[in-house]
Amino acid sequence: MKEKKGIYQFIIGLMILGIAFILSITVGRYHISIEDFGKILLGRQVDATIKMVFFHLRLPRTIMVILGGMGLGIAGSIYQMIFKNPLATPDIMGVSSGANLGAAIAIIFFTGGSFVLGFTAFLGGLLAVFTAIGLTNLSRDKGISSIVLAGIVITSMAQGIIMMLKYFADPERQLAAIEFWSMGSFAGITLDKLLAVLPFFILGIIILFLLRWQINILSLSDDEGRSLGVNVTVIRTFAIIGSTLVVASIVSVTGLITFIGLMAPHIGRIIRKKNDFNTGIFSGIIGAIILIIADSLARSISSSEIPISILTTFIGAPYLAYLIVTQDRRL
Amino acid sequence: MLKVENISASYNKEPIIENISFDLNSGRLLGLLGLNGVGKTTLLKVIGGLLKPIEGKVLIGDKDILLYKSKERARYVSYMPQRNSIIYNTLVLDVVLMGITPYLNIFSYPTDDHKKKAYDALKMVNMEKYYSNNFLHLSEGEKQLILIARSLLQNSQLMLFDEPDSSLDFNNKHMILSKIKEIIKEHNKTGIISLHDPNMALEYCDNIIILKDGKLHTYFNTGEIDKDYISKAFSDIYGDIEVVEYNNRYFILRQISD
Repeated sequence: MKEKKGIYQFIIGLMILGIAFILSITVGRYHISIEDFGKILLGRQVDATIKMVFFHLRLPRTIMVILGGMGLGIAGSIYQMIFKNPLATPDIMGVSSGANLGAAIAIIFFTGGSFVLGFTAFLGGLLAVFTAIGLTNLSRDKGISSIVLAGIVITSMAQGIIMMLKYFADPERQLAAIEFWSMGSFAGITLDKLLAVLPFFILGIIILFLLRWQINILSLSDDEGRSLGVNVTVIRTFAIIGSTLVVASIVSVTGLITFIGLMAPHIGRIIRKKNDFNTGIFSGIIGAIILIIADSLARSISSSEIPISILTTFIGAPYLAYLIVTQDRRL
Repeated sequence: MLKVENISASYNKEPIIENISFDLNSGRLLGLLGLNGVGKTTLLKVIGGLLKPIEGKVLIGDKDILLYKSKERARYVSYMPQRNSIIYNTLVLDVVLMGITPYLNIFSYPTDDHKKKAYDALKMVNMEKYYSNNFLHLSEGEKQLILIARSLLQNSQLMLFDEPDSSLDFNNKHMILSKIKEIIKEHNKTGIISLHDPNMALEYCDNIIILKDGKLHTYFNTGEIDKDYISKAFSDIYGDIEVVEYNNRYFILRQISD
């Protein structure tokens, strides 16, 4: 059977990601040459500053970018399956708005150090989604439309509070900080931050991996899924929790990153011509490649860093426009 | 094998079906007939354990269907919906493979052995050459065959089909129904199929239930009835009809008055 072709797709994807990884390590305000990178890999003697930049800034940042792209790509593909809609993203359940609110609260009330900010953003994202799940469970049918409505309610509530906070914020420092957070950036990533969110990221991925076949079945109608013996409501809740852990752990340290969760699964399905968990992983690789290129550009096209979501939006929106004119959008 | 006792069901307050009871043995295909909105799908969902009735019981092998856990229940009953809900690129073999789900642990993934079984199920509906095709690119009739293969892999004694012919052309309608009948006979399954066309039901089903106003109007064995019986039973729901006999088969025609 055609398993081989699938393996080649993964190998090529990982090779491109590897090249992008090297690119990301070398570019930036402090240039690290490929020779220096090679020396570090081989454990040879290099300049102390280069070593410091590599281990404490560049490497954690690049790893975070890869995790971010992978996580958003995988979570996006899971959401598109659960919601049986190719335009679904993790934002539907309010994770981004919740995290945004958490960040805004930290900026205004705790004049937040970046750890406090990350922590409240993470909690905000989780809390928003759990509230939406709770609200759904109060509904009679507990189906997809109730989930979407609950997500809209939570998102609007969070946006409302954010607007209020912005209105009372000090425009010079606080308002600017909230706005910048919502544009996303990998600039502040350090090894400590990476290690702080990693356990939650991994926990989320493990949940999704364990339930991978059952999640596959969720892409069918609820009745069809149940007739195949899947406890649709329970599996869906856990799948949402797993993807929320992944997304919240990313955006809590990077701020909002747009379009990756929508675009990557799409490209993944077009290339693989299938829709299974491996396609979800493959979408993660695609997400990582797009994000790593975007982040390298963010660091290099102007003298100061450009927020990441500006670039992902400029890549993502034209891609969507391209899909509108050329493709069957039901992929 | 299947005992339906006094079923009443509704989605909101208004009951859609009321007091429906019947028995069905294995090796038999039962056709459900009735006008739109009479509760055919509702009845199928109750029998499949997907909708809890307000009253009554569905017994499979003497056990109430609602007492089974969802995975266990899926090994006894399969349900083929009116329209499949696959919207993403999916390999035909992967669609069939979904039928193995009731036999998997919640954390496990189908094995190569399961894939082989799925391939064998495809063979039973003569679709094995399409195993690595994209499901979305198949014709409607072919898609229905793939879903039948999925139900076969699910290997349940009771197989439910909700208007599997509704979006098919004339040839495909007959192809699908004869395949369903063949499977029911060959594997000694118990089948229930909801249909719109009474002639299809008369042609392929062993038993027929006519639903009217949410109630069971008539339940008969197609082998034991004559022209007058058919005419009387069907005119109550279809109005002015005429029954004609041709080669020992009965056909229902609409009376045209001018």
